[in-house]
Amino acid sequence: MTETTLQAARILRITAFYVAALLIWEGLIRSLHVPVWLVPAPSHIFEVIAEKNSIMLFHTLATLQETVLGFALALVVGILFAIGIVHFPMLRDTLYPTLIMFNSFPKIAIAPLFVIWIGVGIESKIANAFLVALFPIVINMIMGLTNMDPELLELVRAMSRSRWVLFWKIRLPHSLPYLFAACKIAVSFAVIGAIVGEFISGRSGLGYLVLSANSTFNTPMAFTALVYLVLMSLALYGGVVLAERLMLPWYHREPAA
Amino acid sequence: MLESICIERLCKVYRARDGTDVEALREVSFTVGRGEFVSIVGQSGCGKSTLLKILAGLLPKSSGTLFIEGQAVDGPRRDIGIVFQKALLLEWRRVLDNVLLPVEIFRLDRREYEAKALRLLRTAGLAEFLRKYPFELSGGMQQRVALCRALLAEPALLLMDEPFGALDTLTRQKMGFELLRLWEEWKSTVLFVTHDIDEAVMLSDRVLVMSSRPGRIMDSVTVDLPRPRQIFTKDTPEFIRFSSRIRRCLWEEVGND
Repeated sequence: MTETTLQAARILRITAFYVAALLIWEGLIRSLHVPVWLVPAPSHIFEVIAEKNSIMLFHTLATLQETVLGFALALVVGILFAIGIVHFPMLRDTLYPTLIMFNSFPKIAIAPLFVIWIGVGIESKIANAFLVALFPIVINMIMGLTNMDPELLELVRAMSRSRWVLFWKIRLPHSLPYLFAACKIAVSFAVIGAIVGEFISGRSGLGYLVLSANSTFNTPMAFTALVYLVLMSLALYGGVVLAERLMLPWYHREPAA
Repeated sequence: MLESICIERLCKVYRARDGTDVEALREVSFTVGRGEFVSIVGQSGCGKSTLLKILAGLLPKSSGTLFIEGQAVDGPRRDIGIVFQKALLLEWRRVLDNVLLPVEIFRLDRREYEAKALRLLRTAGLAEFLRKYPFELSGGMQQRVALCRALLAEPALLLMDEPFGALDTLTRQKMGFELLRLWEEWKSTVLFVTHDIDEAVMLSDRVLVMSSRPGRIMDSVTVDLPRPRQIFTKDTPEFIRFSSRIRRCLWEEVGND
């Protein structure tokens, strides 16, 4: 009873905060007569949303597609890389340092090259999203496959020396919380990759929309695109969190204070 | 009595990180009869865990001979169960599936052993917790699950390395009696490492007293207290005689330092 009351009070507080923030924003714009090309009022943005929803959705879907494909590719390749690096000394000494080297440099700087290599279509955006999402997945997955109690490994080793058993029964399930932690970061990174790709080239997507609205000083349109971008990113993040809850019911986080 | 463990002039020297050789065990010789409950007591760092790991096939010996159930120790084997101080449960498996881990590793018949697992868990008082995840259990319960897991494949020999060391005194004593109950039912040989003299006397048929490094067996005390033992066994003059003999042996050795 008190639990649900507390929960309700929390939701109420959060809602109140955002409503208040929007009202203050609206009030400031109106009272200070801020021109619409500088910063539009929330009401103005809502108008654009109502009017242009189908166009916005079209561009949102474009960005979503690039992000999800890039992220999925990074997930598959990242997991395979990590498994390879953990199991084969050859890869640990070659691929791993190369990845670390790449990671310490702004991968987004390669983005213009992708246009030369694979064109202005969806492929170069997917490549961008993939590239920025890959590193957190590989690094965390390696941690998850190796960072466990040495005595647990001994316990299993006393029963079997099979690397296959160790991998399927211990390493892989142990790595899942690490993998999901990485996915939460990687999915947001993938959005950045896709948007930057759209900035550089392209005829669709929210990044393209922000840029083209900007060039005509259509600030309300740019803001609207950002609203859809925020909602899309939140939905992606929420999807990862939901998948984690469903797949790892055993994963015990400390309850929030 | 047939011999379960037969160790002769076992030595262990290992290379420390700084390059010096450390003598962990010196000429350790003893035998353990089949079905016997033997404890090894000694200070921490005296080499008792090293001895256990050599028996489990996790560490190579330096010299000497070592037979378990008449076979030389040379790697993982099915007829040994191990319990460490930490329960080391797989946190992604429910209680029953944790206990069934050896079935999967040794490729045993799941249906047959599931019945065994259920009987073990019932004996250990965990019948109502089969579907729980490890994080939902107390430390004592987790250790009982670990014990059931170690006993599942009906090992001829149960190796225990301070299994109750992380528990509070009361839980620890209760666990001791539960171990005895399971042992009387399962009739495996037990080699139990502890630094708690009273615990060793309370549980064992025989207590081996180990010197500090390099570990040697200084005394072998046959504890012929009647079974089943009870908490009040501790207050009997016989019990006190055994424990003070062991205590004196350990203290004299410390005094020689």
